[in-house]
Amino acid sequence: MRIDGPAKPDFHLQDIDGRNVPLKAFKGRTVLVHFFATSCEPCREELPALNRFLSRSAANASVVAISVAEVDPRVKRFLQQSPVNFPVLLDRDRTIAKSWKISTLPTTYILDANMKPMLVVEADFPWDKVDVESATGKLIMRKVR
Amino acid sequence: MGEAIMNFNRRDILKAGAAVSLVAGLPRHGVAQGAFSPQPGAWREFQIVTRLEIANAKGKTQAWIPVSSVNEKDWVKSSASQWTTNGKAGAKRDPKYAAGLVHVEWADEQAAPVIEVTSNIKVRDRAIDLSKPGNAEALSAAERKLYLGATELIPTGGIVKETSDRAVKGAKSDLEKARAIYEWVVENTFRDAKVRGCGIGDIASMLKTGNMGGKCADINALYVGLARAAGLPARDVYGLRIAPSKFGYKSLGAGSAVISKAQHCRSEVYLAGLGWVPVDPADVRKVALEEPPANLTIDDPKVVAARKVLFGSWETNWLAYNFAHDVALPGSSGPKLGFLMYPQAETASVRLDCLDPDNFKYTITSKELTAA
Repeated sequence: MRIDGPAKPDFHLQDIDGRNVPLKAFKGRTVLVHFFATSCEPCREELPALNRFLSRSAANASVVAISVAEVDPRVKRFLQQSPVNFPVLLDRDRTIAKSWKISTLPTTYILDANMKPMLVVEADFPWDKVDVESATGKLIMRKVR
Repeated sequence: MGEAIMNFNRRDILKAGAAVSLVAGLPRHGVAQGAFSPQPGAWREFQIVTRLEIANAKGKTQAWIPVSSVNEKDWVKSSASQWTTNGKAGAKRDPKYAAGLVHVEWADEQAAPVIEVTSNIKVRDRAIDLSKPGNAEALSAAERKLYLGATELIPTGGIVKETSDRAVKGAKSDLEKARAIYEWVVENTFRDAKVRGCGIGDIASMLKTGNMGGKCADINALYVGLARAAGLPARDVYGLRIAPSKFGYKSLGAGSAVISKAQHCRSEVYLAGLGWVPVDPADVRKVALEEPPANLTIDDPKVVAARKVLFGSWETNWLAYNFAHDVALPGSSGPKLGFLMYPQAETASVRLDCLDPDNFKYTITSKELTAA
């Protein structure tokens, strides 16, 4: 993980149902912006963990996943088999991935309530071990017995 | 030496630019299936038939089928394609690379859209005598610019340039540089199980992640990018294996007349006096990975033999579709393709998954027509 400073470029991407979704729709609380591809093995393993993270943290955080350079039917087929409860957007031509300087999948940016990057994780991550602190919106380690 | 390199951390290798030629000095073992030595001989003629069917077509449905469109007097002659379809089809060419394809559109209410494209080609093996540069035709300024330039998936600056500089360090001539890059790619493009994570499809992210064990299009794109970064015009050649290897390499040929999944990308580097030199580091890695009994070491005789030959020679049991990158499919509002090596289709303006057999069915067959 590392701290990442300047604001990331805004975007409008379609979700898997064809609806246009702007990044600013997630402003107001901590949001995890997760870049992935269904063809990437660690990505496939990480999405369910993000789903569980959202289940615990829905009051304090949002998750949005961005499929990079994949055709719609492939992503839909994957989600039919492994459904998630957060929006999945389609960066079909890598424009957003490139503007955010993503070179590794999976990569997750954690933005604060004002869309400022707090952290970036350029690898798969054990999301079952973190929560979002309600007061600050920051990630904290879970006390797992 | 090969074993020692493989024990280094992957990123250390990239930093050190360990580009070594292992070919000289290794024992010359005969390959069980006979010497691998493609040489230009008799022309072989093949007929390739691509049949495509769209299941669950909705609204506007269209497809694009790549066809052999490369013509080089020494090794490949592509004839015009014919087709039958219940749609409306025409031959088109990409304006930048002259990549040929058949574009077909079906009426909205057309049930069971189908097209069958038949193409004839003639090919023969290639082998360049690298010790005897001759009077190969010079590249035009436009060609030089095209084949030195960056593409969406093949950037030539940043980490690509840094890696290229390290790979060619000490090389004195363009031929030495081209070979140094070839050896570097062969040495470094293996799948390291400890590397998790994937790139986003371009060669820069491949180098940054250290996830180097990609398919032929990834490995040969890496060769092309490193060569271009070193100032050597280079290009991918996207194509399809059409026959078994006559040298007995099971991994380097089509296993049957059905070649729907036999797509294969190769590469070429331009050297003054020699012209376009065929190279294929991806096939060296394929031999290592897949030639029975599989998972061969880099110093296995079969791998060594392939490695010696695949800088400067190709067995041309393979057709060349095109050299194209960043292909805009005519009539599509979808994204450009990094390359065109598979049939493509859209229905209701949604690009279909060319790897989804339930909804996008295509069969490609190969038949040799050469007189016995």
